[in-house]
Amino acid sequence: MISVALDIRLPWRREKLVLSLPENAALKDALVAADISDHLELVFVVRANCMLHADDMLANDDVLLVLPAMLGG
Amino acid sequence: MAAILRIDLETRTISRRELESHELLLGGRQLTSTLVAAEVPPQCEPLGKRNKLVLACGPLAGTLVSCANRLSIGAKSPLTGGIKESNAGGMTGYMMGRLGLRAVVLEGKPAVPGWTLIRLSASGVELLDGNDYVGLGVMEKARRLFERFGSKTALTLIGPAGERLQLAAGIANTDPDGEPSRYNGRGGLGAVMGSKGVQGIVYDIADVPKETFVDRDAFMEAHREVGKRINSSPQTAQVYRTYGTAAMMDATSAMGALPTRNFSTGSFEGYEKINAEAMHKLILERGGDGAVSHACMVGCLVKCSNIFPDSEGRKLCSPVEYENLGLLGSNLGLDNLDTIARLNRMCNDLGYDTIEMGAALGVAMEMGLASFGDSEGALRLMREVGEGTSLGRILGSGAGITGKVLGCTRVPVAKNQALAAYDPRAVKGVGVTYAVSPQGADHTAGNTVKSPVKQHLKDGQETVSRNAQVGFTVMDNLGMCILCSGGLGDLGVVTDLLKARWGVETTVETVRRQAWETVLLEREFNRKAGFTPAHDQLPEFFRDEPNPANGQVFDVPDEAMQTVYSETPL
Repeated sequence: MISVALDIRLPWRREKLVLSLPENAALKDALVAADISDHLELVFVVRANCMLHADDMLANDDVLLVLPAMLGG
Repeated sequence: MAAILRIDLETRTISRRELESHELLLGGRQLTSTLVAAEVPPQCEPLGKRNKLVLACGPLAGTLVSCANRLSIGAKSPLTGGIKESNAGGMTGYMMGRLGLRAVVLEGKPAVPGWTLIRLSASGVELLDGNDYVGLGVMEKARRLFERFGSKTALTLIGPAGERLQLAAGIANTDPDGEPSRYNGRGGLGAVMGSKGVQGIVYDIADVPKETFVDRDAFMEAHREVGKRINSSPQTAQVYRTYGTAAMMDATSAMGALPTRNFSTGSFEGYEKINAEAMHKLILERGGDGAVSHACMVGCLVKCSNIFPDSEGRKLCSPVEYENLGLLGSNLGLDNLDTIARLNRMCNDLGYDTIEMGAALGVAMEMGLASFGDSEGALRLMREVGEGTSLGRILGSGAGITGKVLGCTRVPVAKNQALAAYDPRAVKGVGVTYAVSPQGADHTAGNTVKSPVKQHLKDGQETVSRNAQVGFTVMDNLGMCILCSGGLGDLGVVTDLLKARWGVETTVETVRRQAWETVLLEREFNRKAGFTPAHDQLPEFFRDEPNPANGQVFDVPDEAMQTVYSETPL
């Protein structure tokens, strides 16, 4: 198992979670575990300055920022 | 009924041509760029008599469909030297649609220096004396014009920037509250309007008949579907409506994409003082005129705009948006919302593009004319711009000229136009757009921040830039706001609206193909104006200096960038 921290900073939800996930977990698994999967198109997930996509693999002790997806203005 | 109105400011003649049936869906950027490409000599002087300023609304303008009343303005740009289209919200696109106009073309140049005010109404076109308004700020000019013509009119105006033919001059449009702060900001188009001697356009729809539809029932059904989609999407109904575009800042700062201290890094230590939540909280605390959500166009359901009040609760600036927080805030090292709003208001009142001015001030700060983070220094420089001092005129000529005059080699421009608030070392696809787009550095030409690609890697960026350019141009051509696209989803509902309004069938595929043809047409205009692949570049420092926030340089190869227009988008 790996441990992944989620810092959720969405207008509709603010929460910090620590998830236990299988070794081969991808971002989409973490979002399902955190009950964010319905909003997959609506969030940016950033790890160490890099935006992740749904199939990106996670590693132990990853810290993920979950932010609203925007187009700017 | 939809027509193209032409006003020759040299001969003071007016002509009007109704669109033919096969032209009824032409609008927005497609129409401005088509007319400019066909009628403006590519190598002409942008501030001379051969350039034309084309104002065009979309084919749904004049209705209450959400987000469908943008006003595109196009010309040969005095800032970039290439073709330009910049679009804005406000009431003017709606008014043009109600007046049965799809485009207004300003041609020629006054034979005798002087200023004209144009009034469009049910009774026709009037060319009025505009000399009484010279030198006024945009807000005072709007106040006097509303007093003269009535508060139910709408206005398109230039400010002192446009009168001075400054390369950073934009064109203001009034919003539903009469606030003249909806800008066709980019490309120096305000200077083109100034070169025509036109102070402004007054749109008056009193006594104009109600809009007509080929199939009203079908139109209303599709209209309701648009509303349902926008109101049920968390992005449009929650994020944009609650926090506005400023909600982007958390993500860009986290990714290292937030321009900070003249693009010297991409994360700003003070971002939490100026982000969407900080602004939202401050607006609610201050109350008064303040509003966290506000529609810039009639019928808009997204309402991503806001009204930022001062400490007494009086309206200070509307709106304060992400790009302005980035360029006038973090890019200047400023973490004070009041200072940013004041700078924003000064730009709006003087008639300057906030992005261009934020970049120019950043260059000036880098060269020691003020310190990063110095609120008073930034305001002092903006006051020089307003007073039209020698330094102010240089700053008002944009970041590129400011950099050349001050001897700065770190100047964030492409085709001489300032980059928007996305560092191309962190969002490399938008870096490709900045470099190659015929529009110059312009995030609205193809922002890739949501594209399915690793934003910080060089691979695949030309592809996502190409696809984003099509997607954004589709919305520009339709006269629709890009910010509703997330909630709108499939554009079939828009083709349903077009058919019900005009009786003309089209498909999403056709709309996308025409969007790509628009971009290629613009590219061809620029080639004839003298642009070559050598101009499709970002400033060298983005390739040489790693962004401290993510360790990345801009490393998309030139060869890859040159393939953007040689392949067909998905």
